[in-house]
Amino acid sequence: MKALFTVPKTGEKRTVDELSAVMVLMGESLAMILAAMLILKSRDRV
Amino acid sequence: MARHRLGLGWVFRGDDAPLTGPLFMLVITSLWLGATSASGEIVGERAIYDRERMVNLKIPSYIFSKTAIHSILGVCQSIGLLALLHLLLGFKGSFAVMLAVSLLSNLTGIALGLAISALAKTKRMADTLVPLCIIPMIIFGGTLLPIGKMPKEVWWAANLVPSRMAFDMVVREENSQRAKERKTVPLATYSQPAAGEKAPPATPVPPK
Repeated sequence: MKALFTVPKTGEKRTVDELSAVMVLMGESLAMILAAMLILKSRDRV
Repeated sequence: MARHRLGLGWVFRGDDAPLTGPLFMLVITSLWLGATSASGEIVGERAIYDRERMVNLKIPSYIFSKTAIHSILGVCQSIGLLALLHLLLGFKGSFAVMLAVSLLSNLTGIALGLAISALAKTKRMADTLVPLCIIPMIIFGGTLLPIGKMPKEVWWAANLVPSRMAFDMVVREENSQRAKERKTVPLATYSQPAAGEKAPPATPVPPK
């Protein structure tokens, strides 16, 4: 597997999979927060 | 050792202990704690929320304030949980990396809990929805059945659930540290095999 980036100080190679895992976790958090906002907006009584 | 006399440390003892279960438990517990703590927030104060909305409360401000408060709580929960597991089980992986994964899982759980809380009409309904959302994360997480052994039709689901991604990261971290020590058995990664590669072994391979 091709190394994508190097960790500063340690010089350790991290792979695409690890970066994509972080991106998926952060993306899902953001998507669910947006979903909560949209649900609240759709049920707005104001 | 003293930690072996205590519950989990006694069950999962030795350098070749099958720590995949406890690592998965770390991820699922972080998700579950985040979702449970946030699921009652909006639905529990719907009347207050409606009144505040009439005096110009913005939805993004409200949601981000809830996320911020629960994230602070999540940091404490993750540090406590990980410190306890490190102490009892003697993980080889870096505490900082595992903490980062645990925090990310907790944040995903908080976001899921807030979405459930916004969707539910009663607190009871929110409490019921949390396990219903967490159970698929356990099924597709890669511990009950390795990803390589799942039918290809459900790989998309396994790649979508946050537990699989977080679990894969903690196992990789644990294995990288075990490989440096050269005296412990690496844990199975349970990763989806890349094109042209063989599926990883379902059980750890003993050293020669």
